[in-house]
Amino acid sequence: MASNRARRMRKEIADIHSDDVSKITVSHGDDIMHLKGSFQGPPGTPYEGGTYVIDISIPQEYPFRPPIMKFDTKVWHPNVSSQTGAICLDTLSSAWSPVLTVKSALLSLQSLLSTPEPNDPQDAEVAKMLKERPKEFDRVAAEWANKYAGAPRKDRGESSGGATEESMRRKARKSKEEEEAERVAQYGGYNERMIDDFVSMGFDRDRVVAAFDFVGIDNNGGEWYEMEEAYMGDITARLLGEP
Amino acid sequence: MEDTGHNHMDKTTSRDEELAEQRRLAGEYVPAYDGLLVSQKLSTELIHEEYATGDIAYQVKTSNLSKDFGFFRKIRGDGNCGFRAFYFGLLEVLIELGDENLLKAQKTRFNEVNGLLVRSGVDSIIWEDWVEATNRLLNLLISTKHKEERLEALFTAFNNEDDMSDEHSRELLTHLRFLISYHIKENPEQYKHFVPDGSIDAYCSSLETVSAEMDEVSLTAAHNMLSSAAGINIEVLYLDRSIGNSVTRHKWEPEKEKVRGVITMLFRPGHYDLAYPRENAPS
Repeated sequence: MASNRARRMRKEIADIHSDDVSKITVSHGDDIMHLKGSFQGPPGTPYEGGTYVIDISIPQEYPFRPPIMKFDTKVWHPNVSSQTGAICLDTLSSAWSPVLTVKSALLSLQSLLSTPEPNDPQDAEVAKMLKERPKEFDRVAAEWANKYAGAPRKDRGESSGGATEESMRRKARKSKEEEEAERVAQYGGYNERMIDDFVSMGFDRDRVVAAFDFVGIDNNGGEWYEMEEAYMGDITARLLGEP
Repeated sequence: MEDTGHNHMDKTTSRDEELAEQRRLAGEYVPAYDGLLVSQKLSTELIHEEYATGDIAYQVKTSNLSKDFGFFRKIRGDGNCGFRAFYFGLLEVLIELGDENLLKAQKTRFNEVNGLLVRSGVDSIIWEDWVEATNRLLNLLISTKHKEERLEALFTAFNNEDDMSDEHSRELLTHLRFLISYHIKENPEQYKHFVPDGSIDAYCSSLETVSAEMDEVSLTAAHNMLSSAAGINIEVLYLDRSIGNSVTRHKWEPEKEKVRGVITMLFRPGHYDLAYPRENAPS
C-alpha cells in the first residue's frame, strides 16, 4: 500500500509544478519523499522579496501523519527556531488533516510569516523582541531576509521597514492628516499665527475666526502675510463688539 | 553490515517510542494482549482482572459485565479506536448474518455516500485511495464464500500493517472519518444542537484532524449514514464511575423496525472496544 503514498506525492508535485500563481516550488532528487520546497516572503512584511527554502520529509505514514518540515533558510520569526529552522505550527502537528497537502502546508508557512504568534513561540528570544521592541524586530527580520533569503536591502525611513514599522508609520501619517484636517477646521483655513495673534490678546479662537470671516480676510491658502492695519482694526472692533 | 543492523535498531526503537507516545496521547494504558489493531475475541474476564486492584465501582461493574457479555475485542487506542470499532463491528455483524446480499447492499450504500466526497470539492487525488480501500475490502468479502474465511479476511484487513505501517486500515478509517465529517456538514440542522457552541465548522475541522477521537455525535452520524438503513443497531456500554452496579447501556435505534443485528461497543472514558453478548443475555 506504500505505492499509494508515492502516487499521491507524484500527483501533489505535478499539481505544484502546474501552478504558477502561488510562486510555490518543490524539487527533489531520486527520492520523492525528500523534497525542497520554497515560497516568497509575503508582501508588507520584513520578509518581502525573500525566498524561503523548506526541507520536507514525507513520513512513512503520510498522509496520515504530517510532512516533516523545517526552514533551511535562516529566518527571524518567533515561531521558527533562529538556530535550527524548526517550526512551531499546529497544522504540522496536532491539527494536521489527511486532506491537507505539501502545497497547503507550504502556504501555511508563508502565511505564518505574516502572522507571527509570539505567545506560542518556538524561539523565545525572537518572541521577546517582537513583543518588547517591534521596530527592532522588524529591522532584524529584514536584515536576515536580506542576508539569508536574498531580499533587496530595505532603505530605512524611505521604503517599508516591515509590517510593524509600516503600520506604525501608516498610523502616524494618518494622525498627521487628521491633525491637519482638525487644524484647518479650527482655524477656518486661516494662518494659525495670524489667528493666534488675536487669541493672545485674550479673544476666543472661534470668535477670532468668525471675525476674520465677517471682515472678509484673505486666508492666502493658510500662509502667513502681513495684514493691513485697517483690517486689523476692523477685526478688533468686531471682537470688542463695536458696530 | 554493522551499519544496517544499527539503523534497523534505531528504526525499531523510534517506532516503539512512537507507539508509546501514541498510547500516552490516547491517555490510557493499552495492555499488550496481542499487539493487534483489532484483537481476537477475548474473555471479558480479562477486563475484570484489569481492575482487580482498582476502583471498587469498576470491579463490580466489570464483574457484572462478564455475566452478560462473554467476549470483547481489544481495539488499539491510537485516536482511531471509535472509528475502528464501528467499522469493524458493522462488517462483522453483516458477515455473521451470513447473507452475501447484505454485503452487496452495504457496498452500494458506501458508494452512494461517497457522493459526499465528490460534492466536498476536495480534489479526488486526496480521497480516491480511501474509497478504493473500502471497495477492495467489500469486494474481497463478497467474493469470499465462507463466513469463517470472510471473518478472517476482515480481521486481516483491519490489522494490516504492510510496510511497517497500518496504511491499509488507516485508509479505511480515514474514509469513514471523512464520510462522517462531510455528512455532518451537509446536514447541519440535524447535528448543530449537539456539537460544542453549535459550530459545525469547528466540530468538523477538528474531526478531520488525525488525532480527533470519535464521540457520540460522529457515532450517530456514522449510524445514520451506514448502519441504520442496514437494520443494524448500535449499543454502547458505558463503563465508568457513574452510579450503579452495571454498565450503562444506550441504544441507537435503527430506522427500520426490523433489527437484523447489533454492534455492541464498550466505552471507557476516551476509548472504545467491541463487546459480544452471551446468547441468553437480556438485550
